[in-house]
Amino acid sequence: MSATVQQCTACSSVMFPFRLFCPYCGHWEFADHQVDDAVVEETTTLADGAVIATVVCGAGARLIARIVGGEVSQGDKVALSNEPDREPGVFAYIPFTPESRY
Amino acid sequence: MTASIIATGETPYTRHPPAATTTPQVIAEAVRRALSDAGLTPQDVDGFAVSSFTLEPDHAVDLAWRMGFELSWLMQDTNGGASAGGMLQHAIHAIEAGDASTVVVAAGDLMDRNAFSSLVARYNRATEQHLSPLPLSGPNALFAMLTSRQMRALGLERSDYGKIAVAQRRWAAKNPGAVYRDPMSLDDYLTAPMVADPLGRFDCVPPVTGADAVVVAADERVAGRRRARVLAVTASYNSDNQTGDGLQTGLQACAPPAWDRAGISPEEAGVIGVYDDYPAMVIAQLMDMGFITAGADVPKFIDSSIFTGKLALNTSGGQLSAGQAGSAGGMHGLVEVANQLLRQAGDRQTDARFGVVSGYGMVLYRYGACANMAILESVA
Repeated sequence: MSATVQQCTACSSVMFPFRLFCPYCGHWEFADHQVDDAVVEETTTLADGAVIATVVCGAGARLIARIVGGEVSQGDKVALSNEPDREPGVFAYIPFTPESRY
Repeated sequence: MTASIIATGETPYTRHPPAATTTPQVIAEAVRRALSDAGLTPQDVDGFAVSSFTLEPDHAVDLAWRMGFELSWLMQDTNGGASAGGMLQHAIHAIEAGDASTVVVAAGDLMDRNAFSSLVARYNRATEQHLSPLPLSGPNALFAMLTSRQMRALGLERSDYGKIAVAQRRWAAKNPGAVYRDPMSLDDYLTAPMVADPLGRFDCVPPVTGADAVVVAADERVAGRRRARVLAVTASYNSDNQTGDGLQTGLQACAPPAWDRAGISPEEAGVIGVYDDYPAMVIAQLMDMGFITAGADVPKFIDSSIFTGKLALNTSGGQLSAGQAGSAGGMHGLVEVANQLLRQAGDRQTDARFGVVSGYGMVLYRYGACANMAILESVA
């Protein structure tokens, strides 16, 4: 289980959503980078009970996710997935399809 | 700068527009009111700027054609809550460059349930691909998390934000055009249904159908009449690549040059229109513009300056009480501050000499990326 983010091939900075030029060094070539988990910074519970979270991965990119399969608290490490319905366990769903990168 | 706002127009705002209502019709109504206020006819207009989320398949030139404008300057803006400042900035430069002398700046939207749903679902590519499938409809959850960050950073509680909403509702009671005018107590605010914690119903703007317009004219053509002279307009786009916490807006960068060009300080501003998509953004922008100084006791500022009405802030009731007419959300604040400086703000009239308007908007992924600020002076 992991989520795809974008990594600059020149300066190794990690971005999400995918950019056209690297905001840190201006380079324009990138590789996909798989991130297994991230730390929960904030959550909010919507009127329908869904929990939306901001999570920050080790390389620094902040992602907006839906928490699936259980509860998390601020500061928790949570697994990431680009699939909304994966195996049991708590994870943060990050919508992404490879064809929508750019 | 050598141009002024000489007139304003705002349609009635409505939560439930009649079935046959169209966006061009609503925008034209605001333009008609602004021209009438200016004592001008469509034949006097030589510049036109418009912003709308729901204008398609038409464009700015279609509106110009259907309103009978023959123009030497035309622009269309796409920056939602920041469109007013952006269009004003360009309009002033067009007048100063001699490209136009009488410019109508307008924004408006037909914002019924369907229009709002499709707007927020396809707001941009990032929203369509990474937020809507969560599923998420609209930016409430994003600003809920931003509000949580601000609460931690500044020691704010829900009741502090409630005081902003309640204060604006008090102003709205004096504005016949506001969609929500009934008195609201702090308790009403705190007990309203939660939308996305910590945001409740009264932290969120009511989408309305409506439009706003102003007429901007070269100063030498309008000498002797009451006008809102534009002293400065500055803007910022994508100030941090969406990598920060969203608690600072682009105003942090573009406010200092605005104060410098206008030659006044925040203390001299007698009326302030802050883009109020959420109360947290009111605080963020007041800080970025220098109305709340670094290190200040923010809860105390809210209580003593905003809640008391001492600060003439969002005197129309703001979008929180008057309504958010789509892309006209930014124009609403400009129209209100201009009305104050033109001395046509009715029961809520202040004696402000200087007015400040901020724009903020276009959520790219986590928060807004566009911000701008205009400083105006009432002259006669």
